[in-house]
Amino acid sequence: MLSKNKWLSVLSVLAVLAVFGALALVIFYAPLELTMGLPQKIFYFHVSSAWLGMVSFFVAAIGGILYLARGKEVHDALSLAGVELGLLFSVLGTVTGMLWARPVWNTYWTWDPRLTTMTIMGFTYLGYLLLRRAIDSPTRAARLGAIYAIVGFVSVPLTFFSARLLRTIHPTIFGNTGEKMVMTSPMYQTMAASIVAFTLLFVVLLWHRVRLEMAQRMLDSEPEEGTAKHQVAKFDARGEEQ
Amino acid sequence: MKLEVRGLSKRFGKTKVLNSAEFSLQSGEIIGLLGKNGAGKTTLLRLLAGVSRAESGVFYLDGQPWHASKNENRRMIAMLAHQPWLYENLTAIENLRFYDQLYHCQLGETALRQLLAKVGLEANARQVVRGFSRGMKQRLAIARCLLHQPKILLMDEPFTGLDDDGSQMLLQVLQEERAKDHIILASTHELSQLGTIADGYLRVEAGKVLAESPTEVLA
Amino acid sequence: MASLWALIKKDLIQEWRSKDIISAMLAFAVLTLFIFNYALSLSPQAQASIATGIVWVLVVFAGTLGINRSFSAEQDQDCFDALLLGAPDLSLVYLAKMLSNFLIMALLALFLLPVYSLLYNYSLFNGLFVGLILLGAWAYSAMATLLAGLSVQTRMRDMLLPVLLFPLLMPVNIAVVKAGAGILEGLPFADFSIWFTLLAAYAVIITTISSMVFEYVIKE
Repeated sequence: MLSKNKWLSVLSVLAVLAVFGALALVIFYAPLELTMGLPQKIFYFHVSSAWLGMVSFFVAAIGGILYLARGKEVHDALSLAGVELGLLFSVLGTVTGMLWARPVWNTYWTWDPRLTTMTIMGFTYLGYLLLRRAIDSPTRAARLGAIYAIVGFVSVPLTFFSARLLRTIHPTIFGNTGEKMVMTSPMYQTMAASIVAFTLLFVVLLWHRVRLEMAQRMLDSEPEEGTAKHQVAKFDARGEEQ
Repeated sequence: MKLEVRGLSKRFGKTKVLNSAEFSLQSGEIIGLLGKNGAGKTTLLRLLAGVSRAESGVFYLDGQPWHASKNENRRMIAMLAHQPWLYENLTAIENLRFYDQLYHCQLGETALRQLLAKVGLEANARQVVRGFSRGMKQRLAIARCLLHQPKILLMDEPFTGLDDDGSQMLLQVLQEERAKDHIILASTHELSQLGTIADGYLRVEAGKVLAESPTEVLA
Repeated sequence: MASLWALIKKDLIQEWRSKDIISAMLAFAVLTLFIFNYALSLSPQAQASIATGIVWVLVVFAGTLGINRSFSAEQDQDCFDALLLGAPDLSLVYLAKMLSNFLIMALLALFLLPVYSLLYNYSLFNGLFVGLILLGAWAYSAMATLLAGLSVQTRMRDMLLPVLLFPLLMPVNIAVVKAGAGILEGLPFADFSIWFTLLAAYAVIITTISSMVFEYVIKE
């Protein structure tokens, strides 16, 4: 039923090549930043991860809305995959941020609004996964997960905005507040390449994860001989998924 | 009225409880719902009431497509479930008053008291439900079901917990509802009570719903 | 409207009769205040900067304790199903529960303010400050009520609510604490009005979205 998808295979190879390409650009092409020096190079992957952390929330919320509206399992799988990748990328973003912060600000952790928002975002993803784990019925897990993904997505910009209103020491790349980091065009090109490569990787991972989830569910829902009686007893009490 | 059900399916995990079941319910008849433990009687009642979502299936009321999720449709249903759906920290009369206001029935105190008297709880009106026995809760739940004058009555093992008086009262209520030309479906695992008045039966078996006449069942 | 009122009234009657939730919340809040007193060596001098923080933490913690229980009557007796059949509109079920939670939170806050003022001889009775706490309580109830509806349907129940709630509550916490400090330090309103705007926006947005999705909280 789940045959190999040619597009997905091609895209997967491309994504891996793109990430290595971006890595090469970061190492050999991008110049050293004047004040921060070598540690600044982590910035390319840091920004890409942070960006995907936010994109994941969007994907999870869209999946959630579609699931509530149409009740299709694939939308739930999309939402779940979005959250899992979101957790991965927000942890990556936080860790790379801390590694960068140590030599530059002389501390691993600062209560910087972006760093704080990203960490809170990570906790929201974690909450989503805990919520699903605590529910036995798959349809209920999908339904309640969708709701949490939607309100989570709505509250993230508010968290960011409120944290931003507090003083910030984060170098601002886009926009015009705070301390400026001067970027030369090779730096811009490297950053653009990193973001494209990571986004491609994200799409591929998302696609694989949705396929895996759907395959898993198909396997789970296939009737097995001889187990029917045992299964029935579980729903007997209320005629409900327990 | 006639409620027709086509292609009703529902699964829990790997188990198909209902597999495109087809049947119909005629108003003015008391229909018993039979089936082994875990055959899907409760599931079927919950699907009809619209509190559980079917995988697939279409309902028709007098030939017109009917959705249990629609407001006016939901409110013409009453369900007597395994749990009584009562608030334990409210008194009997407060529970009825709550459902009266929720349904905008505006029955007024006297009518609510009469309803309590009908189910034999007039002396317990001001007692908190938490202290009620199973049978008393069941009686109050019956009153709750009748309160908004539903046209479709779905009952899951309605005789559970009732004493002889209570069972007589429920038989009485069911016959009154039949006389009002309502649709009545009540699940049961034994026929000593419902068997005396049932006009027909549906049996849930291996994912299908089959109609049976009283003579077939009692034979 | 009649249905909304009926839904609120049944919550309040139940709570009035048992006083389970409110008494546990009040005791918890006062005891936590005692812990803070020694843990943070609170002195009357340090009040303006941290008073709001302390009061708000008490409201959030005690509130979580109470709101955790707010759907337990529905869950234990399957009354969600009854509401599913009977309520003319399921967003009413959310709005009613949110309002009764808000009333309990407001009661908690109105109890805490004099207690705090008394224990530290530092008056928190400032119209704007009371308004801020009430606005915060609305924003809080809006989110917590929805999430309590989710957590009550899980195996973990009470344990899950804080984990789901606290990350999403961050903007409310920041706004209340910042605006409260501004009020108590006597700054002009314009200096911290942005926090009021943020709180109001949060409360309105979350209330609206929650009313829209609540039908999926209870519908299978």
